[in-house]
Amino acid sequence: MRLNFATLSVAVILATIVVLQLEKARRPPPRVAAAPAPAAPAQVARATDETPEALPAGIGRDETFYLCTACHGTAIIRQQGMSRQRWDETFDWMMERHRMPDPGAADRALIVDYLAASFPPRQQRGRSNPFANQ
Amino acid sequence: MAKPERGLFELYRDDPERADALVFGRRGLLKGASLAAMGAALGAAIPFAARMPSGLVPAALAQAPAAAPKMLSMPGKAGIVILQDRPLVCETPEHMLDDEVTPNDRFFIRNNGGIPDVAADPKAWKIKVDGEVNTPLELAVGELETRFQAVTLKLQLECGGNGRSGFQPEARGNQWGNGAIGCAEYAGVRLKDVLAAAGLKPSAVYTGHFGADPHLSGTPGQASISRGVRLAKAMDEHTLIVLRMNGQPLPHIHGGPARLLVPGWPGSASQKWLTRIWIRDKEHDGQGMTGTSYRVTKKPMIPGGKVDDANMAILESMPVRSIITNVTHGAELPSGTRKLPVRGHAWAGDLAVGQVDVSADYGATWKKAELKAPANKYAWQRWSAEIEFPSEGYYEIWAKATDSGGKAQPHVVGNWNPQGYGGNAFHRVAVLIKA
Repeated sequence: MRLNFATLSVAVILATIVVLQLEKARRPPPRVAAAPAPAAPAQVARATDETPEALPAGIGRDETFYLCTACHGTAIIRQQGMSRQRWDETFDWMMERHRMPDPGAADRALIVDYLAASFPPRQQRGRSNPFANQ
Repeated sequence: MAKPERGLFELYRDDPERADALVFGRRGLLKGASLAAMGAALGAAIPFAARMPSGLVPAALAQAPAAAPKMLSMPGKAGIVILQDRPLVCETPEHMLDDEVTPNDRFFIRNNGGIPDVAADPKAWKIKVDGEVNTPLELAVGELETRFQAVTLKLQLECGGNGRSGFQPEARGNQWGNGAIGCAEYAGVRLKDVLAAAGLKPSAVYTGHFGADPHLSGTPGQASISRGVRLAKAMDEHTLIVLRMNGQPLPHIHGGPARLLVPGWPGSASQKWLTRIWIRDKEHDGQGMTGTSYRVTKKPMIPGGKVDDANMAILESMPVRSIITNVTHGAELPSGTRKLPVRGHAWAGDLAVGQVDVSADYGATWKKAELKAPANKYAWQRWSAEIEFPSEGYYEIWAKATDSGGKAQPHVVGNWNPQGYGGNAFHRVAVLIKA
């Protein structure tokens, strides 16, 4: 279905406003996903409420999400910034260190391409400037 | 919010069919559940969802994930920073580490796997000692307490990756600042006493540690981490099987009922939820002992370059490090402030700290801090100094520790290695003195 551009623009603006308000509203209550209830901590450690949208959009995003979150959350992915070669080496490391099953060449290439495009090395490193906005 | 280079909106405008395929799943994984999934990602329901054009994506989802840190909310724990939640890994910001002895609630959390179920009867928790021993043992915690001499020590415990965020290019793993450290008062028994009870064979050279934490994939029988140490370190009188932390039974999240505490070496050697010590006749080859894990380079390599496994050596003693604990990074000081007392802790793996210096002029001049002796070997050391500011304005307070062997922290992290161990550059705290 091809959308009418004017309709889409209006909808985009409305959705943006709604979303910005939701963003603001949801900030105060901290997420408690990481807080294991004493009764059943093992379950909490495995459960996740994440969806593929936790990762930025791009080709291979869904494949990346479902392969990676079979073991770990997306936070460790989002912390990284690496070249394609180093993302590719990360697969060797995960298979060696964490006994990850080999995903096969095609899926590996798709996911490494996505990770290299979405999480490249960061330009700025080191201490943040806490007074940047003054 | 920063605008992404090419957001989903542009993609929808230019090529709705492709955008739909991209967003709603090349394999149809999200079909039928897409709105619920979007709502879940936003953390709230989407009002007027029924009126949204097919495939429309809320703006927040088109942006890079927010950078604001998430704080831990867990009974018995302070609001420390969550680096990741599966596995659960939390860092204590340096300014929350001002206590002489780190309280349980402020102690950092590092897990490699899931969190095992709470032991119904902690006294009945069993630890096996086998391998190159004359008499394999299976000791319950209650038995450890009655059979072996009780020992209480203040010991620093530091993640091998502490300081990793200083590497350039970025090293793989949790991007720790300097807060993967704590120094608590631990009570337990010496590992050497337990090994003596089992009787070491002449072939014993290394330990292999095992815990009850399940592998993240859920694969039964798969260790999430299993590291070990040379026998000499296992036999050190400061290496303990710990049962209590700061006067309390060892908290579950910190490996209770029983864990190893191998002070001064990467925290991964201090197995949580300890179930077995396997005495080996060769270097242990468990999860995290091989490849690039917990290894640094023998000869320096090109940062970010191709890794030669033969050039990697196991990281043992952690390098010297100091932190400033009474001034928060980003603190605004009252107008007219010209002097500021600063203090913190310093430690140096197997060594002691010989000297701590502070600077407020980017290292052009240094002032020697007062340095206390450790409460016992492997406890961190308190340092204190007074900083002088010649004027108002922006300053960085730097702390530099030098170990008892004469090695100091460097200005920038060097010795690049793919997993980012040994990053021990100066701790830097920015302050602003108001006009």
